[in-house]
Amino acid sequence: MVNEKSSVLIVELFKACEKYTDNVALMDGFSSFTYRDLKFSINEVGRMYSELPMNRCLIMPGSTVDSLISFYALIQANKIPFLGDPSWQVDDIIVVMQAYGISDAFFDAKWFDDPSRDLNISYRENLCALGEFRTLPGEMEWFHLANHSSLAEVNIDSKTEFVRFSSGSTGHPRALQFSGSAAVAAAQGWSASACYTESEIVFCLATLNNGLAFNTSILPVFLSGGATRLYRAPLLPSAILTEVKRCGATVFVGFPFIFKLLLSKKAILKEVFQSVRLVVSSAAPLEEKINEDWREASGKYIGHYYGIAEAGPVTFNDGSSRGSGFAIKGNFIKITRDYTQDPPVDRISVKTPSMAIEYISDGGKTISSSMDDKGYYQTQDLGRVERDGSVVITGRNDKVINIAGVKIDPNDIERVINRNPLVKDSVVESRKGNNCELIVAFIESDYELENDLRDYCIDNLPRIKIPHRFVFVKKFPKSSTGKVRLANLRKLYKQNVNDESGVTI
Amino acid sequence: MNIAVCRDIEQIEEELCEILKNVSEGKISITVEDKNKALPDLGMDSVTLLSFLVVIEDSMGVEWSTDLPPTTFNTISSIASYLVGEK
Repeated sequence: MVNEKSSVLIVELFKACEKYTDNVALMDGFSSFTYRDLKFSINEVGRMYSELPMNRCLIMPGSTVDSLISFYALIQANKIPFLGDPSWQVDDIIVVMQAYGISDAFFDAKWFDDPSRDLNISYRENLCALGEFRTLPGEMEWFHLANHSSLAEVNIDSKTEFVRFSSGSTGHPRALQFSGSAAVAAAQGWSASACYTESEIVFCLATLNNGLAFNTSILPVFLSGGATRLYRAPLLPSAILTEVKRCGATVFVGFPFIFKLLLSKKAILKEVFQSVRLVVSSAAPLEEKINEDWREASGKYIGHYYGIAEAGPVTFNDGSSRGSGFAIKGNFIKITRDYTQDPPVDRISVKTPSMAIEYISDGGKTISSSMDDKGYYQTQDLGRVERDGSVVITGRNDKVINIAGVKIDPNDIERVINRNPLVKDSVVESRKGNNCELIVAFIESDYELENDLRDYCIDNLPRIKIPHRFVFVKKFPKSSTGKVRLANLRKLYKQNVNDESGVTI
Repeated sequence: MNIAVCRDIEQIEEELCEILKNVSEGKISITVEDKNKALPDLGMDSVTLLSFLVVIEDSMGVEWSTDLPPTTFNTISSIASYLVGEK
């Protein structure tokens, strides 16, 4: 061991490494690692990390073997990795580092020129203005922030082995602390539900930070002795299908928009997906039409699951049952009628062994404050449990927008827009567009400065959060209590878009 | 690659702008004058880029090679140049 404090996650992972030692554990199209290699590499890299002067760090992963090994090695070295989102811009990275007192970050060297990301070739230059890159053997680049005076002092629970993020409402992503035992419980639960075996080859198109990859394609595969195939090439249908066929995948994991893209190659789906026994989509609702077209073209059902960042994967559906399927073994679900809403709504509460320990200093908001005395966590999801026990999600109790699996809090966008001196107020909502979910920003302003505001958003927001539409209003319609009348704004939007582009809502 | 041979680069650039406007549902406001501007600077995100590339494949009968340098997709002009070069 390289550290006095042994990680529960690493202990369990290494047990699997010893059991399945000659099996292939990990592939990314360039490298292939057996379980023996995996353990050796985590130990070697972990030994190197243990010498570094930090107790926490940010890791910006690529979909690569190096990123995954570094993540585990940082846990092994007790450097508490915060698993960042590759779609973040430099500003987002700095805000997160400051908010959580992180002075060091690790970037996958391939992260900087990955063509499937935001094509921002000036990342490295922008970061160099704020700190320095230090040399480290291997493929990871180590960035050290120059100015530490703006780093917040935040405490981390002693059981925390790693930290993941979800969308937050405090101006930066919310950080969730996880214990190793929570990660192991989530992995064991998924692995059992999805019937993973050591002959599994799980082809994963989600990035490592995403719940979809985390819950289905990493530790659950390793604890079963199977292989994870990470995908590094551009997400183009022809390239994806070539690789699925080449590696003989038995499980295919992708976001809903991937299935839409792949349907452009309908004619070969059946042949390519011959070896695949389980197809999994999640993170955003899958349109029924895509589901049907996919089934017809590939001959496979698309399975999915219900999970939340705070609690891990909750249910599993292999595609053959209704709704989001059934609770994963060890998880419990109940519906609570929330009478504080008018009309009352049925909210989903969950109790899982894979719960996060707690948020890190999230403006007073805590996970424990959303838990009842029986340990059920009340989610913002609305739904019901059918007679057969299957769970059906019917909506959300908040305004979270889901763009291709990326959950966006509209408050984050409103906060940035409201900083513009020409804007009095703003309301951001989502609307269904012809091709995708749209972000619509209602702007209260004396000016109609669409181009200026668009440029302002390009400069100040991650690209995925830039609104598709702006609707300008001189004065927001308000109720007697001062609340913005959203119904009136929505009517305005309908008139506005029908005039401009014929988008239907 | 079967882009109609008679189409010149200006026509392809115009067509690409139209496709991008449709695919992005108004998020990216682009005209041919913006053809040399970096697409990320116009608000292009990775999901929109992928949808854009897939629609180009379908509508222009091309298939993107996976080993193209990222700079190929940096501007409307660079994409059009690649398409014309492959004609």
